Amino acid sequence: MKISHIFNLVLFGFLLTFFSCKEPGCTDANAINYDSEANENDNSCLYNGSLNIEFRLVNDNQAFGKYDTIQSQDYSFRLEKIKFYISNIQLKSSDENKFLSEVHLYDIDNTNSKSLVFDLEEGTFDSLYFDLGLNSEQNSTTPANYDVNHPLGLNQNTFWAMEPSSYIFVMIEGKIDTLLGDDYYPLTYHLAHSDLLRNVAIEKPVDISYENPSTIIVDVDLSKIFDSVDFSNDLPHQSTNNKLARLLMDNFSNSFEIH
Amino acid sequence: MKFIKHIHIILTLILFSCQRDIPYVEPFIYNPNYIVLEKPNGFPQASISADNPMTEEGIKLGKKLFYDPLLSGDNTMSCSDCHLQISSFANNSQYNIGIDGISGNRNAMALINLAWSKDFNWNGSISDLESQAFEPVINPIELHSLNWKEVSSKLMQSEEYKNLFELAFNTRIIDSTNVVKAIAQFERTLISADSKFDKFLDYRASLTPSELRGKEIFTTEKGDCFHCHSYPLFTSNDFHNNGLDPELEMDNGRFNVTGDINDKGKFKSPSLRNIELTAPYMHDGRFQTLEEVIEHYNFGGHNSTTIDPLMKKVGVGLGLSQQNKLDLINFLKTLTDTSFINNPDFQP
Repeated sequence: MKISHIFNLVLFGFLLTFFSCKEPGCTDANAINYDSEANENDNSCLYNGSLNIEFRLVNDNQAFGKYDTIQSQDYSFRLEKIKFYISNIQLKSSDENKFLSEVHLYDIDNTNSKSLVFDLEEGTFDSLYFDLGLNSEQNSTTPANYDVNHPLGLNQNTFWAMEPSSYIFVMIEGKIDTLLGDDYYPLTYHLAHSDLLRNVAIEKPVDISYENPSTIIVDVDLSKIFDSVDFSNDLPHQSTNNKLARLLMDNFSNSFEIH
Repeated sequence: MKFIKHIHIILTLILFSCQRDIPYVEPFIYNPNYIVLEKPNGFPQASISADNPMTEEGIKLGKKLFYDPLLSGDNTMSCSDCHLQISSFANNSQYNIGIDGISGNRNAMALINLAWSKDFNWNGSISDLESQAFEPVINPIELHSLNWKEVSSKLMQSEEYKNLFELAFNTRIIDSTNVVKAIAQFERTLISADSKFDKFLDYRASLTPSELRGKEIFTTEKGDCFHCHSYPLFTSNDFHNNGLDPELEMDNGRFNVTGDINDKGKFKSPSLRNIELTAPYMHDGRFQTLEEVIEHYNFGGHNSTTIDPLMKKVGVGLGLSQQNKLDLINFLKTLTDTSFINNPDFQP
């Protein structure tokens, strides 16, 4: 055989081998479209960004915790328990709404409930939106429908079972002194009625990108919750939509601010 | 050569002729019968520990252990001596006395619907049911075994127990971990959800006018019992200071577990199911009757730094009339489940 023929055969074999083993695709295992069979990166990799939403209790912009006290001219309130439901959590922009979660329960006694983490496709949004409370469909369920540790489950102790039954949308418990003489007495507000649902929209540009995890810190300013509240009025604890309950829910929904 | 060959044959014949017949033993195959715990109406699915799934064999073994005095140091006392079925697996003595004649300082809690419970004991010192049985067995004022090694050693002398442990846990080695797991499995079967009130909710029974008035008191601000004793468990599984004592006389309660001064005087709210049967009442059994309990709340209780915010009438009182109190007691009696205290499945 001539040398040139041998050379051509070798070259042909080489080229055949080289090109037949190339599998283009996304070769980054961190990508959402990672292709385990790909051996040549074709720059098609797509990534999720990370969004962390953190809820922080504050009083006049100062961090506030369990057993801390709100001091005002008219009263002194020592917080012992606070729980609230948020639902239908979304990011919104002019182009799209990105649904994040159906329901979440913030519980001051549960550290894990103070933040939410989401993996999302990259994008840009204008506002964070959620409902304070539960929609009528959610509120027509009972803890029997859920795992005990689900936000709507039995272990949360947020369900009022007697007729008319309802989840407690907002639960605030503590001790209050309206005489400002260090003479505290129990105070509880349990707000439970489908009509008490409130929508909360907080404008905040949010960029979801792979390189930089995003964090939104939502302050809940407790000093606003008792605005115009007459503490001498009692609040019936069966599910009710009375004037005091509506005022408290309005105040609460206005207490959310982006830090 | 021929002689040598014959010797081989003769020796072989001798060897095999002297072999005793070895009986064939079926190899043990671990094949427990898993069960799914009953879910009564209004209850969610119970949360079962992943490393202790419920099996018929585990439950049978757990019941046997629950009733066996071998768990005590002098073989005279079992779990069932402090937790009697007729009393909803509680005890009608203020305190129980252990094998050494020493009295405890806590009223025995009812073992009821534990599959939905958490934070066991009055101060929540034990977080899971599997761990709960460890301590009473060796506690000097309770069953007072020397240690768990002693208990295991006694159980290992029983062929029956070795067989039962093999069926339940695939081992003939008996240790404390599997003993308490079996007891926990049995305890999870102690489900009470068929009281007159449950039947009322299912439209299988009706309440009398007095019982209905009592229900109204229980579930509204008039009595406001429901916050700490909420349906379906009739407990919040949470800890509350219900104003039993003034600040300086308070029992530490949950503080002894958490070390948090804000937990002083707090105790777990017990289930009110079968409450008619579980006197005396409170962590120290101070109230002999339901009338005394209601009188405590009617008086309002003692205010303190850690009084529960739900005790909204502290120092003032509920203002219940005699009729109100009677109605409330009649409602509480509708929480009695006679099928529970007579269930033969819970008996030895």
